Amino acid sequence: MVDKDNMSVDEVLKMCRQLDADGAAAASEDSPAEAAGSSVPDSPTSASPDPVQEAPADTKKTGEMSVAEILAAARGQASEQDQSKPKPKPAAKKAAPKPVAADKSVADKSATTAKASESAVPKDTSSILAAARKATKPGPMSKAEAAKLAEADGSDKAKAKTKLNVPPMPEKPAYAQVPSPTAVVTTEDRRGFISTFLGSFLAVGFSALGLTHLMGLLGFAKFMFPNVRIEPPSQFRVGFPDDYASGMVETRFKAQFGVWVVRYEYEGQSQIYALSTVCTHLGCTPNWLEGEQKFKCPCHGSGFYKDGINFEGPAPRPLERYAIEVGPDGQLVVDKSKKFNEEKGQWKDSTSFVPA
Amino acid sequence: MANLGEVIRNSQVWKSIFRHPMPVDRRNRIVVMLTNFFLHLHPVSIKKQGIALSFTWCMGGVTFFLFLVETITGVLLMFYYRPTLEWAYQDILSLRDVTSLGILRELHRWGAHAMVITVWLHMYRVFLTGSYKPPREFNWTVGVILLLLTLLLSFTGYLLPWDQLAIWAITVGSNMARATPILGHEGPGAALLTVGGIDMISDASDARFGLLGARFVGEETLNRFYILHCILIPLAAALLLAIHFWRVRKDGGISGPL
Repeated sequence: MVDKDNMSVDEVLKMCRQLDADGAAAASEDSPAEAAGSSVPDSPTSASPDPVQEAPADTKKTGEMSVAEILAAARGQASEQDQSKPKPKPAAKKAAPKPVAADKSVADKSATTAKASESAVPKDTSSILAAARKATKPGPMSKAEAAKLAEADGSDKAKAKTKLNVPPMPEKPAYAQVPSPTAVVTTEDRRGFISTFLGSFLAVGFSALGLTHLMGLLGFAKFMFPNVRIEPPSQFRVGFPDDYASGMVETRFKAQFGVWVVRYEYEGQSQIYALSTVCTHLGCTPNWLEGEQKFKCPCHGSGFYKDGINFEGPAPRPLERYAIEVGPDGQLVVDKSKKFNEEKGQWKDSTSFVPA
Repeated sequence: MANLGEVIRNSQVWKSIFRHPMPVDRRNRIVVMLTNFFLHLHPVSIKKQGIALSFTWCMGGVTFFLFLVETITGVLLMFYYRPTLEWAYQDILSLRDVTSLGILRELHRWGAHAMVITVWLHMYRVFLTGSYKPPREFNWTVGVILLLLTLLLSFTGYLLPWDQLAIWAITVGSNMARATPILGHEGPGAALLTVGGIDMISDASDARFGLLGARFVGEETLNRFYILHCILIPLAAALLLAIHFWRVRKDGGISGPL
């Protein structure tokens, strides 16, 4: 029952009291313990019966013997023993909580009779604790505790339960066999594009849904781009070539058409050309300053000469020209749909000016 | 008088609106909170640190408050503003000079300026307190998108008075779009999308054209920006705000430790 090697202090104490309380019962308990002890050779357990037997000799009334005295008596035997003896004792002490918990039900029967005799006697710590622990410890039990519990409670029950005859599992029928996973994907197993998107009705359904969504999305995107633009006509007349004196900048078409018509020189040739009123920096509208003979943008100060070349401020390139030609009625016709950039050399194009 | 209160509170009209009686204990307070559409949007209880002003600055809350102010003043302004070339500028002048409580126009404008400032401060605070670290990194992303939406609201709203400042600001701002790679007609890679000799991306079919609705800032742009400003971007912002607030609560509460 109780492992003699791992007997805890409390167990020792219980032993002592049992011996004193019911001598015969304690003696009968002792004998299996002795037998267990003697079955183990070379163990210091030969000494363990000694404190059990000597303790009753030491005590007169178990109930009145203090814990310290009991321990002292127990240790008195231990000091004569081998050095290995203290080892089980600390081990026993460490294992004290668990074996004690398992043990109390074991000692329950004997303890109840022992405690009954002590009920009238002032209790010491251990007896109080033992009495308190009499009730089954609540909460989960460790496997060791449960084993000891089962051992103590019903060895008959345990014996009946131990051997459960479990017949062997029958073989699985063919339809329930789990096919072993193929390690290598062969060409025949590989899933293709068609099978992924059209392999089943579900796949076809979702593919159609996705396609419809995509078409809808593209449709909505196209919706945001109007198909009809309402703009002023890109071609307009700006008067006769003779209306323009040399070096003149005409500003009366600036507000309505966004163009200056200038008669000036470019690369040694006198020309009439139409300059765009859009500043090449960020798109504001410069002003023609007659006194300073330059186009000056009010936004960030870009400056352009009369011929449209940028010379100051953040403008990166000259003003752009629009196509200009003499119409059938002799008037100058400006076409804003065609642009000419000087930095690309397009001012050499004859459509970008009218020789004057 | 007390009887009148009781009579009202026991009436079917009252009980059909307020399904629970006035709470007097914590459990019933929680019940009222959780079963009320408006009240359940706010947590039943928050940690004390959540209102530590020195930590949160309350900038997120102020920004949301300003968003509500902007929505309400904006809706009211819509009663007196027509987004057409003929009327846009005149209507703004009328709001200033003639309409009762026309100060709403100024409140809307000042609120917009303030909201941009507070949203930056909120972002700054979140960064300083490390409130973007996991599990809050997605909420940071949602917040950045909300920042962009706030700036877009400012951009689209700026055009609506249709004065010189507005027209040229939007001209300059939208001109950036023509330099977009591939999708802008003056950007790199625009020629990549030429199909069968036809330029898919020209000045009449690039990203800038889609944004303005025309080749230059004009009547179509005014209408387009009006709809973006009043309907599309506020709806998108409201959706993202809902997600933003949801994630704040789910990721550990405002200013909650991880």
